[in-house]
Formats: sequence, structure tokens, C-alpha cells
Amino acid sequence: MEWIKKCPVFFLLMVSGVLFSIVGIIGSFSMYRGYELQLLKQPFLVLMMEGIDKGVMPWEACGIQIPAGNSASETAAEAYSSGQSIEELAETGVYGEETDGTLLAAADETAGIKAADENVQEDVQTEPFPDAADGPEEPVAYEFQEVTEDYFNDAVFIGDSRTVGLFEYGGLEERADFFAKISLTIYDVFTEPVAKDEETGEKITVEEALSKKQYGKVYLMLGINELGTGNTEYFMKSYTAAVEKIRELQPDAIIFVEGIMRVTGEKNENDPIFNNTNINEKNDAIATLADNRDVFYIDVNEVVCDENGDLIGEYTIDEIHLKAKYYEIWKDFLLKHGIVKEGK
Amino acid sequence: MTAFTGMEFLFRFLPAFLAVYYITPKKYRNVTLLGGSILFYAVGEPYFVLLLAAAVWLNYVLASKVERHRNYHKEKKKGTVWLVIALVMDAGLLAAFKISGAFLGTGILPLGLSFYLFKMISFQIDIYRGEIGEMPTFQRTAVYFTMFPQLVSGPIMRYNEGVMATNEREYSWEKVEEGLWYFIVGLGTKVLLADRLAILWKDISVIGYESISTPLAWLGAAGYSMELYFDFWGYSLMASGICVMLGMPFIHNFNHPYASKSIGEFWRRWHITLGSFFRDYIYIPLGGSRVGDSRTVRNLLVVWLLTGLWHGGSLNFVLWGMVLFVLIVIEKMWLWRIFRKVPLLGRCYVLLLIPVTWVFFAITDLEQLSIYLGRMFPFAGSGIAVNPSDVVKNLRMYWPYLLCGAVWCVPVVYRFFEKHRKNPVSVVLTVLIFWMSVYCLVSMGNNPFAYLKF
Repeated sequence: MEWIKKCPVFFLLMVSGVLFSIVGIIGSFSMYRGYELQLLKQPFLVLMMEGIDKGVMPWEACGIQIPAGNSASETAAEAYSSGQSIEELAETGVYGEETDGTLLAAADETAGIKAADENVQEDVQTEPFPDAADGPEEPVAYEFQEVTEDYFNDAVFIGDSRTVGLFEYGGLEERADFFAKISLTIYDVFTEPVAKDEETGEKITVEEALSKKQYGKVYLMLGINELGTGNTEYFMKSYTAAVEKIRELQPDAIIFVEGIMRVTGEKNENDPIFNNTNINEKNDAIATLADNRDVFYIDVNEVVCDENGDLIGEYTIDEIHLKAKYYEIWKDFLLKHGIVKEGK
Repeated sequence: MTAFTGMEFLFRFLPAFLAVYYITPKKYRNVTLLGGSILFYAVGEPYFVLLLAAAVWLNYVLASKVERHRNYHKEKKKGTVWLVIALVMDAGLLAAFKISGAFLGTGILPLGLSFYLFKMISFQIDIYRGEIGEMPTFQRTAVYFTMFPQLVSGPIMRYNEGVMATNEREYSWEKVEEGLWYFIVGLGTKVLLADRLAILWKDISVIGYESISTPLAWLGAAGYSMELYFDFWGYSLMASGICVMLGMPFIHNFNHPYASKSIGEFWRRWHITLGSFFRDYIYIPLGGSRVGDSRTVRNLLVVWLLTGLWHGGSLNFVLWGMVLFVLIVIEKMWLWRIFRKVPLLGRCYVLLLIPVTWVFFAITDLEQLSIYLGRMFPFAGSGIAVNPSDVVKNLRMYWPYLLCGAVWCVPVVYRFFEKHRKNPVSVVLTVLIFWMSVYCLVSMGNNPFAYLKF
């Protein structure tokens, strides 16, 4: 064993490599099931790395569990996000039982995608054009009108990197609040610490921030990071819940659900996930949430897209984000789409 | 597979190759190396592998002719003719691909062409000059031209620098360990630093150059300067590390260039094998700097024009070469006196100006280039929709990489790590760097979108 002393790095790499591979092999029958692995090109230990990346820790292979409910739901969400079908999920044992073809989820967070589907259907049927008899008030038809910049004094914008861009380059940072972060999604919008406590300066979650301060307008643009995760029903379940939660926390605010900004034609053609077909599908679904009383749908694509409905190439370098100088177009669009209610 | 940072190379090709190489009897290890290299190249370039094979064979035939005539005074001219034929062929091939790429926009450049053709040119001249003694066997020549660690991006090793005779190489566990250390340090430099800093440069382009603040423009130039260095230095360390693992000497390609005291020195410490190629085969044959000022300037112009063109066909590379030419001429004529007296001034000059030259290198679109330079030196006007706090945001995001990068540019830090690499703490750190790099590669490779989250 004299050689080990001569090449400790080599030796340690071998030992750790074998160990990680064993974790990968064992895990491939359990927690890494469903991960794609091309054995000709990748070693088993890639599974372990991928797991860590998704928050599945290697020691879970040995049966050490972090509080059961939690990790199960996380695994379910992760597995779903990797594009698996529900059937595959059932196989992995994430979903508890299968009865009459209806899957029951182990954790309520992911409960019944079918059920979510029905919810959406219901929303579509009832919300947008409510019968006068349904509500205590007469429905008032509000129309978009041009407003001045002070309209945004009591507004908050919630969103991903696009909204970050609007914050940085839209010239509204003095007036409105922005709860925005790169790669923010509808799934973690309330749990990520993206807002700032106005008194202490600490990072707080959107939920906390919306509980502390009342806004007149809430703008929401999320959905592009979610394109690779689940289908539209799955997305809309969370989106609808988010809007309901905002409604609950901000009973008097006008909620603007914004259509997801599209990508350029070139990206649209070449990207299997981040393309305009997928964006439009989500946008159509988001639009159904509008009731034109206190939830309104606005779509900035009207002013940043060409006649084919693709983001204008000149406006962007990476085919996804507006260049700094074009955020003004977005701001102008928002100024033209204000909703003003009597007495507010 | 041709990328050293791919899973396929790290966990399939390299370990398998090393195992086969060391199982093969010493005498036949060049056969293994040649076979492995051809396989390595063929996976990446299934068609251009034929071009490589043809270039290897033709160069060997021509070099044999040059060698046959070089020793007889009367026939020296014949040897020169054969040399010229070989050089025209090699340089012509390179020029043909570069020109068709630049003007026809085909963008087809066989992998590693610029590197292996330069090896071939150096081989021909070294044979002609008698620097390579006996004519090497075909096998050794072919191994030299094609050996996979250097095939794709150099270093442009000379024939004499490598040990092509299998029985003269040094085979031991210590050698493997040493090579592995260089390889891992190179991997970490590329993956953990260069690839991260690359995102900063990308982020800046997304904003649009007309809208970046002047401090951000400088931060971007600094970040890009580090990215380029760590990318290429890291790659060179990996390549040379593999050579060491095979029992060959370590080839130096970078010698902590950012610690230079003048731009001339910087270029003697950056991409050393390319610089010495131009020095030995172009600059000195033209008379170097011993032929009077005006001809020295001419020689420098030729070298820097060629250096620019070698790096890329578009106009910005020519401009980049010319900027360096001007800076080096100014330095050679006047500034060197000052820098010799006050080295600190030279250091600051290098650290201030080299990032500016890299901006010429980085931005291929001339209009965009001028916008970027306009933001670095905002005398002519202000930007559009500039957010003055953009630099704070990016510093907040990238400071760990920028700080580590700055520290990693200091020669002492690297030398300390190198000297104490057998220390248990260093051993563990090295292993850790390897797995962290693999982790980063997996999390980015499997999900390219993680690279660009919106």
C-alpha cells in the first residue's frame, strides 16, 4: 500500500468516486428513479450530483428521512418538474394510492391535478361574467384609461427577472414597490424572501410584506420560469391560488395579472420549452382569471411584439429580456392601462 | 467528448485511456496514444479527422524531404524548396478556412486546426534548421501532431519539448499524482471561476451596452479579463496535466500574466507557446529588434497583425492586434525607461490597459464595440436609460468570484498551493475542488436553463 502515500489525491478520488457511484446506483432504484442517465456518457455519480441540485440529499438513500411529509411533497414537486408523467410518479411511490384510475397525492400541495383542472374549469365558467343575481353589487364595467405616473405611488410589482428589469430601468423605482427576483416562480412567490421590511430593512417574504402594507394596485407577471414545470393546469392551480391569496391580503387592491412577455421568433422556433406557443397557452389561461371588476388582465406583448406575435428582435440581446432602453415601452403601456375606480 | 469539462471525457475517455495506456507495454504506448487521440478527435469531428490524417501524412513526407537535403550543402536549396512547399500548404490551409469563415460566413473551422497546423509549421522549420536531430519515425511524428491533450487548444508544444520516445518518459505514481493535481487545478479554475464570471459578461450584454454605467463597463472589462484568463489558463493546465500523467514534461503556457510590469512582458507571460512561436518563426527571422527602429516597428506590425488574424477572422481582432502593436511600440520606444525605474507604475499600466484591449477582443460587432468603449470613456456623451446603481447590484452578485479571481491572479498564491500540494489540507482541498467542479458541471449541463434563469 506504499503507493497510496505517493498519490493521495488519486487515491481519494478513486474512493470518493466509487462511493458516489454506489450512492448513484442505489439511488437509481429509489430516489433518483426517473432521472435520465446515459451510461455511455455519464457515470452513476452524476445522479447524486443531480439529486443534490434538486435538493435530494445523498444520505436519503440510506433511509435517513427528514420530516416525512415535507420531503415527500418536495420529491413529488421535483419529480413532476422533471417532466414525468403522473403514471411514472405513481410508480416511484410518491403518490400514495391509485383508486379507480384517480391518483391520490401523498401531500396536499400536489393533491389531485385532475381536481385542479376542474377548479380551473369552474373558474372559467363562473368568474369572468358573473350573473348579476350572484353578487350583491351591480357589475360595473371598468375600462382602461391613461393615467399619470403618480398612479404607481401605491402600486407593487411582483415578478421574475423581467420585473427586475422594469425596476432597474423602467424609472418607477421611486414610486412603486418591487418584489422581484431572478427565477422567481408562482410556486415560490410567497416563500422567497424577495421583499424588504420598510422599518427594519430585513428581507421578508411577499406574504409578510403584503400583510404589512396595503396597496392600491398589485401587478403580477410570472410564468416563464415555470414553462418547463408541469402543464398549464398544474401551473394555473398555483397561479389561481396566488391571486386568491393576494386578494385575501389586499382586499381593496386592483390586481393586474400580466401576460407573460413572449420571446423572439428565433427562440420561439428553436426552444422546445421557452417558446411562444407555451407562453400563449399560459397567457390564455391567466386571462381567464380577470373579472374586470377587481382583477384585470393586461398583456404587454401588444406593444413589444411584431406582427407574428414574437418579441421584436431589436429590443433584446438574449431573446428573452428587453434591453434596458426599451423598458420605457413597458412603462408607457402600463400608463395607458390604468384602472380608476370611483371614490378610490 | 472533445471538451475536457464534459462528463464523457472526465469519467469515460480519460480514465479508460489512462488505464489502457499504463497496461500497454512501454514499447507500444505511442500506439495507444495515437489510437486514443484519433478516437478522441473522430468522435468530435467524424469528417475532418480525414483532413487531420492527410495533414499528418503530407507533413511527414515533406519533412522527410527537407531533412534529406538539409545536411548537404549543395542540396540546401532543394531542402528550402520543400520547406516552402510545406509551409505554403500548412499556412494556406489555415488561411483558406479562416478566410472562407470570415467572408462566406460558413463558420466551418475544423476543431483544433489553428493549433495542430502551427505544430506542423514549427516541426518543418525545426527540421530544416536542424533543431530536431534525426528524422523522427512516422509514429512519433504522428503522436506529436495529434496527441489528444494538445489537439484542440494547444499548448503549441515544440517537438523537442515533448518526450516522444516512449522509453524516455517517466512513469510513476508520483508523476500521475502531479499531473492530476495540475488537471484538477485547471478544471477548478475553468469551471468554478471562468464559467461563473462568464455569466457577468453575459448579463452586461443583456442590459445593452448603451445602458451600462461607466463603473459597470469597467467591472465588466475586469471580469472578462479574468474570465478569458481562467478559461484558457485552466484549459492549458488541464492539457499539460494530462501530458504529465502520460510521463511527459509540463508545458508552460501561462506565467501569471496579470502580475506583469509592462504590456510586452504580459505577452511573454500570456499564451507563451503562441508568443514564442511568433518570436522564433516570424519576428527573429525578420531581424527582430536588432535592425534599427523602423524595421523593428515593421517586424512588430507583422507579428501583431498575424496574432490578430490567428485569433479570428473578423475586423475587431485585427483592431485588437493593432491596438497592442501601438501600445507595445510606445512601450518599447519610450515608456520602458519609466517602468524600469518605477515598476509599480508599469503594473498599474498593465492592469488598466489590458482589460481595455480585451474589450476589443471580446466584442466582434464594431458598432457595439464603439458603444462599449464609449461607456468606458464617457467623454463623448452619456448612455441611454443608465441605472447608476447597476455596478452595486453586479458587485453584490459576483463579488465572491471577482475576489477569488483577483487572489488567484497573484503568483504567490498559486505557487504556495503548488509547493504545498502534498500537505493533507491541500490534498483534501484538491479533491474538493474536483467534486465541486463536477457538481457545477452537472447542475449546469443537465439543465442548461439553470445557466440562464429568467
